[in-house]
Amino acid sequence: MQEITRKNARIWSMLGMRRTVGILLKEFAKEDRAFVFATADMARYMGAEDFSETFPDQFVDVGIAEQNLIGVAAGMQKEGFHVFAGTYATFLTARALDQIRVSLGYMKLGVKLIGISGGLSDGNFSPTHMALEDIADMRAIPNLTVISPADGAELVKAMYALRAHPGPAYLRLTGRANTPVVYTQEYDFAIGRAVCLREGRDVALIAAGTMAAAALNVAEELCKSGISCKVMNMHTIKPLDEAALDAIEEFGLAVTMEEHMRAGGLGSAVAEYMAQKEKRPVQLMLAVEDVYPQSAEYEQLLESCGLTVSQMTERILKKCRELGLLPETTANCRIKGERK
Amino acid sequence: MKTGKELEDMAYEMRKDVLRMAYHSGKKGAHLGGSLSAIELLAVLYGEIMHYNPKEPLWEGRDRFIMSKAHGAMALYAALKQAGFLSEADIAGALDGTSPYYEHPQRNEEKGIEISGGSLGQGLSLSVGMGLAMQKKRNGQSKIYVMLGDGECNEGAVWEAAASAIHFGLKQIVILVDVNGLQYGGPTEKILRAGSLKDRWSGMGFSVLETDGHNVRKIREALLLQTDAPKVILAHTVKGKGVSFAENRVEWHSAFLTEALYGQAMEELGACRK
Amino acid sequence: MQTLSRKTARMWSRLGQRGTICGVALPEMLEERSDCYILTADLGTTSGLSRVMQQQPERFVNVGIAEQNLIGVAAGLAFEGNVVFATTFATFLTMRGYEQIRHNLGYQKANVKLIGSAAGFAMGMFGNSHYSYEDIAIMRSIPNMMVISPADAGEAYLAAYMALEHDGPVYIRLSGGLNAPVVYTEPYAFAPGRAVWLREGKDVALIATGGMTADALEAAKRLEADGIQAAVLHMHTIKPLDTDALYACSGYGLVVTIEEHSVIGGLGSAAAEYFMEQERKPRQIRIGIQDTFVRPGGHAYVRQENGLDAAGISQRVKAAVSEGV
Repeated sequence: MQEITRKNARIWSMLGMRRTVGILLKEFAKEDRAFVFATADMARYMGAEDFSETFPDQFVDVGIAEQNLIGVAAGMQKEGFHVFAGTYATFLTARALDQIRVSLGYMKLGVKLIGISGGLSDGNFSPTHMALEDIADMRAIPNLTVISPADGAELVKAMYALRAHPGPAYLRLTGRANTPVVYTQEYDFAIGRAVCLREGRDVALIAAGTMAAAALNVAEELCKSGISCKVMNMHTIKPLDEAALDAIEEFGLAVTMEEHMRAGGLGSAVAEYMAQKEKRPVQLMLAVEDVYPQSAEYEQLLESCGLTVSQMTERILKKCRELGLLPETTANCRIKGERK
Repeated sequence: MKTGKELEDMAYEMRKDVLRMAYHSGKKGAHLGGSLSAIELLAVLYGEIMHYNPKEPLWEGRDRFIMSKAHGAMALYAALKQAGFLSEADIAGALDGTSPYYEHPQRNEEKGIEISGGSLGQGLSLSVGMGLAMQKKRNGQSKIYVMLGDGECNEGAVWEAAASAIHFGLKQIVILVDVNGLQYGGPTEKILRAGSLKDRWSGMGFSVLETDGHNVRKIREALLLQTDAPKVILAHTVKGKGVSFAENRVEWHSAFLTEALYGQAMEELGACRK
Repeated sequence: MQTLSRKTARMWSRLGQRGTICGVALPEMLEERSDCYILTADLGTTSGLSRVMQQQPERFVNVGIAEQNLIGVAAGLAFEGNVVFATTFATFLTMRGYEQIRHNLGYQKANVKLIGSAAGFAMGMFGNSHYSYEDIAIMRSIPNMMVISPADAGEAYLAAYMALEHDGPVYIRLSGGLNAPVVYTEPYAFAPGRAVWLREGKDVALIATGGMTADALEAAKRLEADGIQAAVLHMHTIKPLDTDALYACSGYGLVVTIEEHSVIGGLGSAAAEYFMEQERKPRQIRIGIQDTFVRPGGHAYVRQENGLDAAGISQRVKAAVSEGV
């Protein structure tokens, strides 16, 4: 069992999420003879290059054939195996969408999908390798749980939680190696329960994936202008933590932040829920604006999509100005007892 | 007709360009292995077989090249330079993060790039559509050369497309499979062994030829041979061909070329030419 | 191209949306345009394409039961300078070939028009595998796609002609079967991205799309009997969204979106995404399929079971209005 410590957090961050997965896969295989890791030629990319040698009976590589991956994984799950199936997020979810709908959504076979390179992180390979519609696609299918962990530690937590979860799920991995660290110690993780990373009273920042770390930085920046931000790590995008959203009814502004198309993602999920309320903040959706960005390195892509910390800070400041939310004094933005 | 020596010279220049692009792409690495295995095939296609005109890139009667195994982008860029579509500056800047010549090519017919790639298993379907269009337009002149990887043949979508190519009698389609025997995760035989690739294609009704994918004379011969059915050329190649440390090494599917390795690779290429 | 009249409306409503596009509009287009192609995945006669198949076999292509290949072949034809209509059941068209759509239509903007038939529960006894209630969500998330869901057969006809002229990918989502209700009986201005006000009312705005628009109109009549004045806005284009029309709704206390689609990711979500960013906005209720696979049955039965008919809509709206007071 992996524990969240400063040291482990550092290691996982260095490896990045996709290679951290490999550590857990091996641990699961050791502990559970019915555990199977299935992939479409991507074991090595997931830090599981030696998995097939150590656990030959618990490894299935179907080759570059994502549709078959889902069919095979679902068939094994049906026969009592516990299958985690992983490859590139975009090929996993988009190429095999109908198979996921029928075998996982409709038949509720509890396969856990691991989508590597969610968002823009492998965007240097061109838009074919960006996963920017995956949350929308997975969220639209009934019975699927959708999780996007904030960092390596939360990925570990989510993997344990998913192992114990009977239904099908999609685990979306974001960021590259040297992922920003959010958690350095043990904390309570539960599927469907958002984590408040910072208390605040003016603006609520709602993020998933590596955007959670960015949100903390944005909150710190906005603090300089006297804006007090609450930061919510909405690691589970489906089912959405409605109680956590109820708690921000009185806020002036809610900002959703995601490496995903604007349509159908986290921002959309939050909007769906909040729109039916009598009282709710104005929402600012920070997302990829319905275009395929030009291929570039990750950092450049974040910038061309307006999703760097400084750009997001500016956009939020501008919105606060429009809404008359800028405080008169820049002092006093912190809330007592908040995590620093 | 070019001499074999001329085509080999062209392949040599292309290999150098591929290494330069890989080197300049920086630390993130580039798809060296699958680009180097496809060099001779592309050299013969662009050097001799295909009809095109870079001054009139949209000429209706041109032959189309579809790079379905799009991680071979660098080989395509190198060929397009030889063909006069891309400039030395295009090559010098390719894959640098700002250039429009990405790790996977993006459709740009003016520059000879017929389709965007990067998602495997789609090029043959597109070729079938283009072939149908030509059939209906009475364009009996243009051919469509589509390059697949042997790993790519894992994809089910390839076989849907293959069936339709036969069904619609699209003889203008010529399929080249770059059989380098390796895919990302290891040897294709080990990842997904599915009987003989030759039997699979011929069983569907293709005329299948096998050839040495690094021998320009034999490639030319295979491409020029008239067949009754649409043609599949299984070109046996070496992934990473021409660079000793990359040859048949799965980790060179995509890897970072350090300055030292780059120097060594360039030297090896030069030595081979002497 | 024909004009909409009482007579054509009556005739086409008998054919339904699919019959009108495949049996009337597409054969006309093939006559009018030599660069137009019709493709299907084994659903020629079923789709009402018999006339196309007989009159223009040259420009009709059946790729067999192979939806991924359908999209690839369509895109290949389009890249050669043609305008291509590809049709089969909505769920297989959009889901089985999803990545091909993303790659060829979204990313490379291939000039292909997807005609998804029998969306929602129109496949009746075929069951959930043939129902389609994620298609708006997944098509809307792809850049460059236009997403249209016509209210009746006449509008489907106009949408198909619009798609022919529009340079870029379009998804037309067809609702219902034969003998569909008529919403329009005279010529009107159909423009993509411009919603149509079908009824005025001060108490609540019903925003509907596809076959649900006829039911929304009927629900509005029932609500009037209960003293509730409901406006009806027909949002035939879900992408790009008519934000001017939504802005005009911001004065209402309550808007209700109505669709034969999941409440996740469809019209309701698109509207919520817009409203939530505005300062002044109504409360929004989403009527649709509640994120679940449903118990199969005949089309009318499933709609009724899921509150997706005039009775269900009016009840839900009445409850929401009285809640708000």
